[in-house]
Parts: sequence; structure tokens; C-alpha cells
Amino acid sequence: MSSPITRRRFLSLGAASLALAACGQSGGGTPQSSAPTGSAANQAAPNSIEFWDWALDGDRKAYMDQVIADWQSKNPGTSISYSPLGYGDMEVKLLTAASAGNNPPFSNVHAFWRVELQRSQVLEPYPNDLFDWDNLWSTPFNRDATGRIYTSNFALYTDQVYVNNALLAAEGIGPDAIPRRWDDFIKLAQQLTKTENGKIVQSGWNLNHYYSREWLWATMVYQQGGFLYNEDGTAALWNSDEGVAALQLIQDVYYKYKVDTLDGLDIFEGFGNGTAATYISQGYTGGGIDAGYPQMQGNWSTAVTPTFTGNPLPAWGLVTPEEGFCVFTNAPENVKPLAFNFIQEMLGSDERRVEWAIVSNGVPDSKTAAANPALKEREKGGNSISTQAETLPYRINYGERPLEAEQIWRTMFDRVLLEQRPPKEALDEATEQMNAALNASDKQRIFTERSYQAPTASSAGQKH
Amino acid sequence: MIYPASQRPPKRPYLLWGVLALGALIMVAPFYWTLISSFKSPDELRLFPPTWWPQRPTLEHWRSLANLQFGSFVDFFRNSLIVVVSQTFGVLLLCAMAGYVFAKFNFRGRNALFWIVLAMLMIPPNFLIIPLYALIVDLNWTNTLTALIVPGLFYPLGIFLMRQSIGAIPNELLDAARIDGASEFAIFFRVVLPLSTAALAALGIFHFIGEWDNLLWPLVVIDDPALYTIPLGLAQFRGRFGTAIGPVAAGSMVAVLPVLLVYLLAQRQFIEGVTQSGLKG
Repeated sequence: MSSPITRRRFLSLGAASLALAACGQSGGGTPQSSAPTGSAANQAAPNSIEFWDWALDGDRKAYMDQVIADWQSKNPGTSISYSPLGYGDMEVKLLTAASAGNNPPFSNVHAFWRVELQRSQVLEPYPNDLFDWDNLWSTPFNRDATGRIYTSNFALYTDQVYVNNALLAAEGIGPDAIPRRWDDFIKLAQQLTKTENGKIVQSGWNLNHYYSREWLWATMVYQQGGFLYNEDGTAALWNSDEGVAALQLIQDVYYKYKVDTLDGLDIFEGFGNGTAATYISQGYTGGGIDAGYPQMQGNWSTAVTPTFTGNPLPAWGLVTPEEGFCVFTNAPENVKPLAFNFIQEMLGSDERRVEWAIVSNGVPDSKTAAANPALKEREKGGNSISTQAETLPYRINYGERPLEAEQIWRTMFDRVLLEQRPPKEALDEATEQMNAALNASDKQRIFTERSYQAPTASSAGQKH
Repeated sequence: MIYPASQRPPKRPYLLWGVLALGALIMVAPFYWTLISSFKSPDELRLFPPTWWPQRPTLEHWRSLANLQFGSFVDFFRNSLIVVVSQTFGVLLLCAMAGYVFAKFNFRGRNALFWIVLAMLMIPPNFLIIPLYALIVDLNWTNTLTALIVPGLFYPLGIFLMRQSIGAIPNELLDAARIDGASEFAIFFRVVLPLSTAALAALGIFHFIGEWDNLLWPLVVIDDPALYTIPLGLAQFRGRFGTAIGPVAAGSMVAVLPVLLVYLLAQRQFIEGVTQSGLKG
């Protein structure tokens, strides 16, 4: 019989474990600033404040560290720290913390769920004098119905065509020769599509990415002069003629034009491995090509997304914002001004906005920053930011993206692409579901797509 | 020479061996893939078709673990060890005690209480995140290892497992100890626990493995990178533009070592415990 575990031995093991645990203790408490409690008028400035942000890739972390150092030098006695989170983890952590009132004073907040927080009145509106709002592209779609703004964007993204220069060169085509009309682009994609034994081994236009399809569909709706929602935001218009035509084109990519296959690699893997001559997606995706596929460095470029007519009116499509910082209403009163002051340091000048745009691979959210030479010198792919900037004045953002929408859209694309159902049928179903969700609650939706004003020839690219 | 049937050597079960080997290959394949990925150069990591052996092996991913943007891998490893070891010990003690009570003591409400324990197994852990987090906030335990250790001490599956195992101990042994004048604590530590080592080993391994890989709860309660556990530390490689597969693979290989060690040391008891309790892994 094995020697018994004596009580003394067992308890001593337990004590050792507890001692180990005690060695690892940190000071407890919330991640909020170390400001003393009390009325704002009586409070001294806190000596540290904290924000949460995505785990920062390479360049972006270096720049964030620089911004923090600059701010701290201007605000001696107060330090800023941040907790890095894996991309995708922020939603769970921040929303859980906010539900318990234990969120940091300010944080990066994803555009997908920022509106819900805004509507729940847990976000502090930005001061009117923080930025020159008229100079920002994002102002029309960031304002709520009362004119208040709750976020500021590091950069803005538009979709663009990513081009594998070598695969085009093999066909005797230069990267500047990407057509500006959908029908011509599809012909090019067909020329670039290669098959072996009836199976596509090189797709002329890779569209295997859910979000890229979602964004492209919205872009095509806007290109045709359509909208996703009615004027008062009470009903979805997804099954409009424009919506059906857009979804039909996406279905035709696979089944009529056969320039891609659902069995193939997704847009990143296909492009990086040289099996996709082009793909269309938002600008941020370009930020990862060189890092994920070093063999593609210097071998890719971008072109503007085609339109149905070849010209940018009535709109060139969807614009999406890079996430931005929001300040929470439950932040201590003496911390809120510091948080906004830090945000102003981050984004209060064209120089800052240009740098953020470069590290994000998006367009600076500033109408006066377009001519900054640093953009041209340092943009990825040789022209990724300029390509997006060319189309930005003609772009629309829908504002709120209802939380229910993604699952409905995913089902919609499955119906059309996996089940090959008619787009009209899939869109009727999706629209009905979205309208049921819109009618099921009395939430005041914040759809801003109607705030878009098509530029005139003289106003395009200038301050509005 | 022809041997009678009773003296012929048994036929080797080649088919069975083949199936088992295939199963083993499938089980080992993810470990192998992670291991070779940790040595592949960046341009090889996402190649399609993939390479099954590093063409240009590199140690840069392993070196990157020593030069993280946030925190240090030594801290992550230490924190994981502290949390999981102390929590596992606590679980073994508490679950064994609770299992002993449920198995060997009759009192009013025992069955109802045990059904409540079983009912807790039906609640998805994610449902409890927000109320549990609110409780941690009220206790001022956020951003501490205490918040990682204490909630995990309450382990309904462990109570169930130990009850099943201790229930098989003959009552006569316990009665004999009582007759000899042993206290209940003495009976628990000197009779019950020694006879439950297999179940304890199985429970310990289940719990260790489950908690070692836990990302969600540390993500919610820990903000300071110096207190990150390994899964949370590795999550920082999931960036805006993609996941840094190489460092994640290298970090995962380091992370899996303690789990492998625990299993290798206690595998005999683990198999006995699984067999005795009828619990499948």
C-alpha cells in the first residue's frame, strides 16, 4: 500500500501553493486612473491614466509610443499607459468591463459596436473645439442626430483593387491598365484566370472573404445611386434593384464569369501565394501583405475600384473608418479633459493624421492632408493610399452597422453562393429579417448614408 | 512443420495497429505542424501548398519570445504556473472533500444539493462571465492573480468525479477507521485520499490542461501585461493586419511543455482514474 498522504504533508503542499500565489500578487484595483475620489473641483490631476488598444503591429506601436512620449513631455507629472489586446479580443474585454462599470477612462472602440455604446449613453461626446470638424471627411457620418460626435478615426479606408504585378506582366498588362468599368474589369479577370483540368488554379479576381463581399456589395449599391436604408432609418432597402444587381454580379463572379472558385484560397492566401491576380477589399488589408508574404514586397500595387459607368458619380462606394478612441462617461471628471487632450495630441494636426494613415494603410481623415508628400513617399504597394484618396470624396458610410446585420448578410451570401439561389430571393429574405429586427426595438438607429453629398467637379477634393 | 491450432503464435493484429497508428498520426499532426512552423521563415509560413519541413529554418520566432512588445514570456510562464498549480491544488482538495461528503454522508438535502452541483455543469461558463466579473470588481480583485485563481476553485465536474470515485470505497474501511478512533479529517487524509489517487490524478490533469489554455477569463480580468498568462500573452501576436504565426507557434511549443510533463508523470494514474470514474477525456 502506498504511503498515506498525511494531513501535514497535504497542508504543507497547500501552503506552498498559496505562497506561490502570494508571490505573484499585484496591487489590486481597477484599471482607472489613480485619481482620488471626490468632486471634480477638488481633485488634483491624476498621475496616470490608461487606455486600451489593439496589440499594435510594428510601425503603429512605435508611433503610439512616440505620441505618448510627446504628450507626457507636455504634461509633466501625468503618465499614460495602455493595455494591448489581441485584435478581436477587445470586444469581449471592453464590453464586459463596461457592463460592470470598470472600463478604462478611454479606449479604442471598434466601429461595429461603438454606436451601441453611444446609444447607451456610456460615451462622452467630443468637445466642439477639439478639431476642425469641417476639415474631416468623417464628420458627416460620425455625427448623430443631435450633431454630437463620439469618436475620431485614425484613418479611413476605401476598397481598391489589389494587383499582382507579375501575373499581369505575364499577360503583357501593366498595373496601370486596370479598367474602370465593371464589365471591362471582368473581361480582364477572365483573361487572368487560369485553369487546369477544368479547375481554376489562378483566379483573375479573388473574392473569397466574407467582409470583402459585404463591403463590395454595399459599394455597388452606392455606385448605382441606391441606399441601404430608408430616410428615417426604419426600414432596410436591401432588396432594391441596386441591391439585387450588386448581389447578382457577386454571384456571377463564380458561376457566370468563372473568375474565382469557392474552393480556392481566401483573398490573402491566394494573393500572397500568387494564385490570385487581383482581389478587391478595403485599404487596411494592404497593411498585412508585406508582413504576411514577404515574397510579395515590391510585387503588388493597387488601382481604383471599377464602377458601372466608369466615372465616380453618383458615388464610388463605401468608406469605412479605422477604429477610433472614445471617452467614457464614467471616467473621473478630472480625467476626461486629459483623455481628450491626449486624443488631440494623437490626431490634432495633419502631420499626426498623415502618420497614422501611413501606419494604418488608409487615407488621413483630413481634407487638407492629401497633398502631404510623406503619403506618396511611404505608402505601401507604391500607391495604396493615393488610390484610396482619389475615390474618398465620392464615398459613403452608412453610420450604424446593426449588430443583427452580419448574421443576416452571411446567410444571404450562403444562399446565393453556396445554394445558388436567385439574389432577389435571398435579398427579400434578408430584408424581411432586418426589418423585423428594426421593428422589434425602439432603438433610434443612426444611419448617416444620406448625409453624403456628391462632389461637384470644382469641389472634389477641396474643403466642403 | 505444422503446429496444432493451440500452439500457433497468435496472429498479429495488423489492421488494428494500422488504425491506431493512423489515429496517433492524426493526434500528433497538430503538434508537429506547430513545431515546424516555429522554425519556418516568414515567407514560408503561409505558402500554399505548404511545406512539411522547414526549407530555410530559422530561430527568429524563438528569439522573438525574448523580445516581446508587451510583457515578457518569462512573466507569462511564471504567472501561468502560479495560477494553474495553486488552483489545481485547491481544486483537488476542495473537490475531494465535497465528493467525500456527497458519497459517504447522509444528510437532509444531500441529493438536492448534488443535483444543484450537476445543474451547474449545464450552464455554459460564458454565461457567468459578466456577473462573475462584476463580483470581482466589487471585491477589488481586478488585475490580480487572485481573480484568476479563486473563481476556478469551484469545479462542479471535479466534485462529480470525486464523488463517483470515493463512492466505490467500501464503507467498511471507513467504519474500521472510525472504530480505531480516527477523526473524520484523519479518515479523509489517511484512508480516502490514498485510495483516490487515480481519480485525483485524472482530475488534476483535466483541470490543469483546461486552465493552462484558458484565455477568456484572464482576458477579462487582467490588464497589466506583467500579469498576463501564456494564452493572453500569445494573443498579442494577433494584430490588426494578421497573426504572427511564427512567434505564436514558438510560444505554443513552450506553453505545451508543462502539460506534457504533467501527463507523462501521471499518465498511469490518469488512465486508472478515467477507467474507474468512467469519465472520457
